[in-house]
Amino acid sequence: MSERVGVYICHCGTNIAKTVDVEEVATWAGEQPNVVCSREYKFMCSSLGQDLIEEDIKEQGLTRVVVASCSPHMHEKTFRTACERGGLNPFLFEMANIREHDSWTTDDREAATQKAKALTNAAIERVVHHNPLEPLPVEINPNTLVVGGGIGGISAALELADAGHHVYLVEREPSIGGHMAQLDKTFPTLDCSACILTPKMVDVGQHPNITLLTWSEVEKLDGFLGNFTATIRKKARYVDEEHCTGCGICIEKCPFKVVDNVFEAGLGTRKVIYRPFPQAVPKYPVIDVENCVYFQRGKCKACQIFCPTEPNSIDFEQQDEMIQIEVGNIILATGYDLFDVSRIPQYGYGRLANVFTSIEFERMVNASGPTDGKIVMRDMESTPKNVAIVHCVGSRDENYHKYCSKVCCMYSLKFAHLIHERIPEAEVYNCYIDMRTPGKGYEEFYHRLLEEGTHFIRGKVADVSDVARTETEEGKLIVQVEDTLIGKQRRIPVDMVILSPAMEAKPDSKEVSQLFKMGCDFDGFFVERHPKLDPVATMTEGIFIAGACQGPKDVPDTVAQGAAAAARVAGLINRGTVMMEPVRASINQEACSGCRICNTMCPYNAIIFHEDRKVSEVLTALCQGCGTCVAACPSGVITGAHFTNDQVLSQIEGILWDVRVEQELVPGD
Amino acid sequence: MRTYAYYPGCSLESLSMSYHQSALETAKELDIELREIEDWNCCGATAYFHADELLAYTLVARNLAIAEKDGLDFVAPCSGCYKNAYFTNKYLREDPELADHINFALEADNLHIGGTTNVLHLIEVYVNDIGLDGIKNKVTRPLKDVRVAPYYGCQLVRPRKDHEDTENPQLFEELISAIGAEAVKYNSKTRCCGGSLIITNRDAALDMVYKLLLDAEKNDTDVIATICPLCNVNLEVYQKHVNREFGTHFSIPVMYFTQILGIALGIAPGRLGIGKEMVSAAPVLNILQSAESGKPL
Amino acid sequence: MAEKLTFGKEIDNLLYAQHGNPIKSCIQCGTCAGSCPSVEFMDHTPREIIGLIDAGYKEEVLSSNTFWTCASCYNCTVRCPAGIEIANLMYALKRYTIWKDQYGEDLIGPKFSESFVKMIMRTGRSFEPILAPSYIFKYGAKDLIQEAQMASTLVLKGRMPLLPKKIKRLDNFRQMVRRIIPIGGDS
Repeated sequence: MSERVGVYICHCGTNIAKTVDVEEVATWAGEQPNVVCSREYKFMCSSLGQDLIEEDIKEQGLTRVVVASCSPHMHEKTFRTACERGGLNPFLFEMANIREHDSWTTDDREAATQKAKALTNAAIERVVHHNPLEPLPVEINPNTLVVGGGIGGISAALELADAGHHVYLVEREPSIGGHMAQLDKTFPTLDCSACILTPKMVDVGQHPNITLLTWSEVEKLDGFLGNFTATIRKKARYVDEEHCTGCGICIEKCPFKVVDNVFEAGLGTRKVIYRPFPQAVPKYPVIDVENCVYFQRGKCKACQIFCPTEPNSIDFEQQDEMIQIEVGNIILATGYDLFDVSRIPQYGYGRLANVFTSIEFERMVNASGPTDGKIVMRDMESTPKNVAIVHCVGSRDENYHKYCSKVCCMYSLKFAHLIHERIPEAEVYNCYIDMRTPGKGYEEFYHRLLEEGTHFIRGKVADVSDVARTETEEGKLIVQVEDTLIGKQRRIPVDMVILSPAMEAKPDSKEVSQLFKMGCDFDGFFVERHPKLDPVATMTEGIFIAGACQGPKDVPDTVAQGAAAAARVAGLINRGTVMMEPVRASINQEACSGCRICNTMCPYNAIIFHEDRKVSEVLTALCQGCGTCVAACPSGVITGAHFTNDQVLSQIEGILWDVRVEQELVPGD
Repeated sequence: MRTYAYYPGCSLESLSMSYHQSALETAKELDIELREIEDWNCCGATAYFHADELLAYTLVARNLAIAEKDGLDFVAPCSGCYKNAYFTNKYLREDPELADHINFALEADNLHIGGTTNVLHLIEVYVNDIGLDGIKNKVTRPLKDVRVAPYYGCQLVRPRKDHEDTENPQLFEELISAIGAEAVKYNSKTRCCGGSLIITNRDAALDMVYKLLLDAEKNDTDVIATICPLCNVNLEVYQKHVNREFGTHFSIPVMYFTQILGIALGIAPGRLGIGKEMVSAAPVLNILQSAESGKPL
Repeated sequence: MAEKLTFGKEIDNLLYAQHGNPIKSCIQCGTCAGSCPSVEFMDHTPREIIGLIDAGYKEEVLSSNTFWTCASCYNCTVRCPAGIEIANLMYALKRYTIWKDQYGEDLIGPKFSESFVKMIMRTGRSFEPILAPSYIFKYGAKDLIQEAQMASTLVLKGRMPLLPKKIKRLDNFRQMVRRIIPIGGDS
């Protein structure tokens, strides 16, 4: 039985019709084999256009539909749905792109019309070989894994948990809180960072729907949307969480201190058994094995000796625990690191004592930091009389990072304000290229700083040195910069220089993205599905991203993204079942020779080998329909649904309609 | 015995002949041959690039082509010649059209350039090819107690060639340590000496020389070591001018790295061209003699 | 009829073979001027020159002393966050003003460069004493005396050449030069 194909040529206003003679194509298409109805219409994607398809299917008994219009990226879904409404399986439809591939590539009417015929014909010849396909239902596990316990991960976790869904929150450090826990005040409101963060941290710690796994990392991930299996390594704290009350006596009694390079940015110290900061969630301390005298030399054990709980909460024999969890979706909120300022030697960090990084200054200015909030120089005593703040360190720079790090202008202004507040008579110089203050209340904050008497020098700092040329420069750090607004090179003698480095992706972001089966860009940030319209989804179904791991951003944007990702996940959980595209590969197991070539070729690890029967099988849900195995199979027993040999070959034949030569089959062929 | 195509450059002929002498003496002592390129022409310095770029490249290319004929690596003791040669060589390798154009001109002297030679600065030969250990082994008079300020100048490290450190290179300090001297840590080691501005804009250049001498003096420098004849001339010959202009009393010896290397290798100062300076190098020799004899200065 | 080029386009053309980014990438950050060791002696900072070129202020740029005060130290080039080869731009502007014969009266640079080029054509090598007239007459009496003193000391120490050295294959050399620029006889 032959098929009844309906063909629709779209004008797309003048986008197609200006260059392609759509009437001619429609008439010509109507003369092709199997075509029973051929129309041209101004806007096929409009409701009237779609109605045309529906009506024709019903009234003309169409069994196949072809629409020649724009890119399938735009409207394949629209027309497939129209077919479905008309009672036809949506996969009995084929689209020809005569806009992006034709009318938009040339001004030559004749050539464009010829090509349109070829493309439409290809679709007609192909669609005849289409088979009806049903989308695959996939169940969504209602549990979610959130990786990263900073403000982004915390927001996402709380949104989902409050909605009644279970969340596993995995954090690499001993406590959640992330970088926000290190900050003193947040711009532009100057809210105390810990005051707004810790209630959320407590919520997470106490939430019945959140399983908090700190001092843990995800090591392996298997599965697909709705059905992930994650293997998590819960590192040994050497503290028994079941019995520890968090009293902190072990920390008090530990006789050994080390420089805290993580939380205190090298400015302060901590004990060898420690909590990263007093409000840590969870409250259980952790032992730093590399510096612990017991682990290194078998002595001390003060923490165990003084621990008051019964049984003792210090467990030197504790092992790492491997935990396997099943989740339906994953949200990555792994955060950022700061650009290493020693990569710019002319700024003097490390060589000149009183050059500080932003994170060092944050800790200094923090009331519970290593200097109790006093702004002092490296000798931990003297008060600086003048301070220079250097913007754009490592950002907007071809030599380091080309991008603008978005938040540095604001936090540099915040620093200027804090200096004015704590040292009223100090002179503060902010050296910037452009002042970027785009958020709510941000420009007003800049104004405040202008009124507070900050000296703004529009110029990127060339270098910081201690080579004095005059009396006034003796004993000072000299910031050399062109004040571009007055066109003069200036040398500003200051006591302290604060560098504002760019936010950058964490050094292992590439490995992490590969572990979670998605990608990162050249700067190391995770890649979103669409930069404008879908910033929290990734190209991998079921994996979402939120916060600074996607790109530099401030706290409000991070919270918004965390909530957005949570909403997407909640939506999926709510639906319970999701329909996946049936464009997948399948192996004819009876004909499979067990050569396993396809196993190694599959980029999604979607093919398994049955040892007992010595045949391979495609895990349909993992398969992304790339077609690699289909082409690789030497026996040709793998079929790519919706891309069978018949379909593809007839498409090629259709394109070559005007050069085909009819061959007579000679007996014996 | 490794041989190099040695390109002395115009300055080393007379004005900086002590650099030439000390280079050849130390090379001999360290078992390398600096074979002077026959019939070399001026590299054009900076002045030629002010007139015509293509012609300037051609001038440089002629010398490179002669080195290529002998199949030797091209070594320049002058940073200006080095920079010109390095980048001309690089551009000729990367741009076949430029190479064609220049080769057409070189045919007039029966020469052809193919980009097969490598361009090195003299100090790179000592530090990288001979190596610090090779030098240490031959040191017989370590420059004990002598504080040497390594003056890199501009065109050894800039423009950037690969991903090297242009802000804080260490190779010169390493060489100074290898000959037993103390390398002075000072900020201005890669700051410009003024170069040809000493003629075309005397005020600017003297200001730059003044700042360099000031920084060196502040850091207790006994001698400034240079790797470029123009830097050396600016810092040394014009010290009197700086003193007159700025009311200072600088009298800091300025020597070529090959001269201090030569002393450390036990070569007689006379053979290293010492004695021809405008600012006497005697104080340096005195410190050395005092350290060796144990008698204080 | 040929389109009249804007000054910016003219400069772009001069830099077409360079390896850095075009000067329109400049974000006017001022790192070049901040790093320049001789900027105090320039009437416009390097950043200003780029801004003036972009804005089409041709006369002001050509009559500026900025690029003639450039020492080619390349500090600006290695630090420029926009990847512009600023020192090479300075060279290009020098070549432009010499070509157009349009430069400030009291600038020594252009005359010195012209003398240098002629000297090379004459002998193939550099010979300092020939270059003296190109700048010595700009000096005041005191400077002249000091210069003479310095020169005589150098002569006594054997560091000043008294006769120019010629390369052997001078004829070939001159032919080679003429293949690049037709000069027409010895200049």
